[in-house]
This record gives sequence, structure tokens and C-alpha cells, in this order.
Amino acid sequence: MTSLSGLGDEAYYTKKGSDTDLWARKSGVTVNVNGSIGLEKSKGMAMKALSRL
Amino acid sequence: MLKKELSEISERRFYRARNILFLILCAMLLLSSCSGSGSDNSSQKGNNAGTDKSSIASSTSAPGESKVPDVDACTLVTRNEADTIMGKLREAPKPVTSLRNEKTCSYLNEDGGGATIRVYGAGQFDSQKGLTAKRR
Repeated sequence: MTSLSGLGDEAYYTKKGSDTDLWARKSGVTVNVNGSIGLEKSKGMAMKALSRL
Repeated sequence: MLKKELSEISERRFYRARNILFLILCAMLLLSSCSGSGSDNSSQKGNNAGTDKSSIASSTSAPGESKVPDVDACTLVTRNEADTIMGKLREAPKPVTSLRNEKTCSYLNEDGGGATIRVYGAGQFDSQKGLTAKRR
């Protein structure tokens, strides 16, 4: 489990093979981005999603 | 004399009964105000036409979990935005509402790379973090 900064109030990710499991919390909402697109793209997806919540 | 004493006794009883009734009434009011305070789960956030902004019309909660925003997860990242972030999509994002009530949207790009966005209440973050830490 590795912490991420600059994504919501708190965020971390784990890697399992080629899959990235990213969790981010902002205010009252948690967003999970899971998939094979890698960390940077997962971060981009999470950031965009959090910006709308 | 006896009549006066009887009158005083009945007056005292009347006041005691009145006080008891007043206390019962206060207790009922207190209980009803406590049970009513958490009943309104609805919340509103801004909504734009189309897919520019998502709407959170209301919230639902599962036992032991914080409120899950009632939102279409596919409006959080539009197809065009996903094209830019993860490469051109092979198909339109697919919304799914799972059994656990979280809102989900799946994206698949032309290279076969996939990502799924899930939206939960805030409590899920700590639960998941705890589970992940235990597994390690």
C-alpha cells in the first residue's frame, strides 16, 4: 500500500501484477479506480471523478 | 377541619399527577426529536446539463457504512475525457449498479486496457484501508 499526495483528502494505491487498485477520499465520498491502465492514468481518472463529486 | 385536610390532600395529588404528566410529555418530545434528526438522507449537489457535471440527487446508506452518493458514475469521467486520459475508448463507458449499492462505471480502451470507477461513501475508504493493511 503506497500513499498518494495531491489526490482528494487522502489516497493510496496497491499493485497486483498489472492491475492498479487506487482509493481516494474527498469530503464524504470515496472513489476507487481499479484496472490495468497503470498508476498515472488511474490517478487521472480518479482526479477527474473527484472533481465532480 | 377534616374537610380542609381532604381538600389539601386531593390538591397535592392533583399537582403531583400534573407534574408526572408534564415529565412524560417532555420525555416523549425528547424521544421524537432524537428519532427524527437522522431521517432526511437527501442531499443535492449542482448539476449541469449533459455530462459536464454529475448530479447527486440523494444518498442511501448500508448498515455500518456511510452514505453512498446517488450518482451516475459514468458522468464523472465522460467518454471524451477518458479518451484523453487512458487512450481512445473501444466502446462507450458502461454504468453498473452493483449488489452493494456502489455506483460503478467501466471503461475499456482500444489497447484492451480497462478501468472501473466505483463510488462509495466516505466510510468505505477507512474500511478498505484497514482490510488492505491486514492482508499485508
